[in-house]
Amino acid sequence: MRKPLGRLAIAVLASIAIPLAVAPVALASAPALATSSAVKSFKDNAATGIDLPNGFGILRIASVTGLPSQIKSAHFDVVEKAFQAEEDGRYWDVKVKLKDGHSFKKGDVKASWHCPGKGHNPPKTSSSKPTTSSSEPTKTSEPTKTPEPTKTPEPTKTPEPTKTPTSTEVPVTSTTTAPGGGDVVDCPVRPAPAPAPAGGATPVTAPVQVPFAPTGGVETGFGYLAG
Amino acid sequence: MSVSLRKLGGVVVSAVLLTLTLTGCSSDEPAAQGLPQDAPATVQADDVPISEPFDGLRPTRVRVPKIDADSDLLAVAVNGEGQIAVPSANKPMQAAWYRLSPVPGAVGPAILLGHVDGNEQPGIFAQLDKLVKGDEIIVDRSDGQVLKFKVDRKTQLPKEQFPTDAVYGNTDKPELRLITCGGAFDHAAHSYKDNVVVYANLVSV
Repeated sequence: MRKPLGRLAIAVLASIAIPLAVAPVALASAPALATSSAVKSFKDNAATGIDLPNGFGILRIASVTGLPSQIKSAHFDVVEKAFQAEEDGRYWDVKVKLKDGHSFKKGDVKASWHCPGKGHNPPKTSSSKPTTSSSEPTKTSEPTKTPEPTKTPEPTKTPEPTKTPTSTEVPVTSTTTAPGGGDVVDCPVRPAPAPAPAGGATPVTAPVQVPFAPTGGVETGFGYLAG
Repeated sequence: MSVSLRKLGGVVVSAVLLTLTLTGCSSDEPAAQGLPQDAPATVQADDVPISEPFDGLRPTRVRVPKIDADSDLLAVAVNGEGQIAVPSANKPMQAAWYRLSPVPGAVGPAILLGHVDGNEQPGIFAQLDKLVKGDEIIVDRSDGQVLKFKVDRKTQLPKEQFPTDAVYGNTDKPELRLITCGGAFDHAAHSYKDNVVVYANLVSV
């Protein structure tokens, strides 16, 4: 009885000691700390997108190290500064205006960004080759392609209030860091409902007051009151 | 034997904590809010302080005297699954305002959310189903306005039959919706089967 337990103890301690030597790597996959579904599914330095009416959308970027900057895309313009998700500070929400023909739902939107503390590798010579070539490998439909993120943007755009991206930072950030800025993945998106009928409802042409209206209810309970 | 196991458990816990501590200082750039940059998977929702909250006009507090509910309000949007984001289950007494709905007091359905329970205790809206027509709801806003709403009606429906249009559809006057869970608890799905929705109208500012 004692021997197997002793072996178990050694095995457990060894499995801990090894990660300690290379702590950052080991921690990234520490399953014991994942205690909720939110934790299990969390992926840092990744983004999802939600379509809103009239070509707008919300880009949600996971960035545990702080405010993401240098948010760029050939498929949308940033129209509002990023706000931290107050229920989960690991995420940042950015309102965007999608360019014609693009939507998050279609899954054809790609973007790059910079999370603090990430992508600070020394700029590589390849940085003169912008990221878009690697992040949009198969695009053939647009004749005016190679929308280089390093180009000077339209003067009216003020996506980032803090600093102007440089030509080297963006490519390095989005292509050379492993999980760096990249494809904006699709997520379930439902259209906002039509205006409430009757009872003094507003005309159909009125702006939608709740631009994104999920269906299927809201999850706000965990069973404690159920006994 | 049990003593040995206990000791082993202690070692394991200590080692994990040590690992966490070590990784917190491994970066070449100061981590925002002192967070470990190399181990984001271990950073949980409640670990990250909110440094850049929504700074537009917003509701700041909700009070429902009849059920003794009183909470400041987070501004939440939509999570990666396309659902309304809700406050952490670890903070069941925390209510939230759905930022993609009107600010309370503006024309339209302002949406407030609260847990019925969480973290093994009742939530801020645990008694929401006790509200009846005429009950008062008070909402403070960031511009200093204090708005008084009165309950008009209440529904409790299975989540599959969530009254999307009634809750989120346009209105021609300032209204308020308070939403929480209710009904039987589905242990397999780990979810209550229903949503309770309280509809209220603005009566004074």
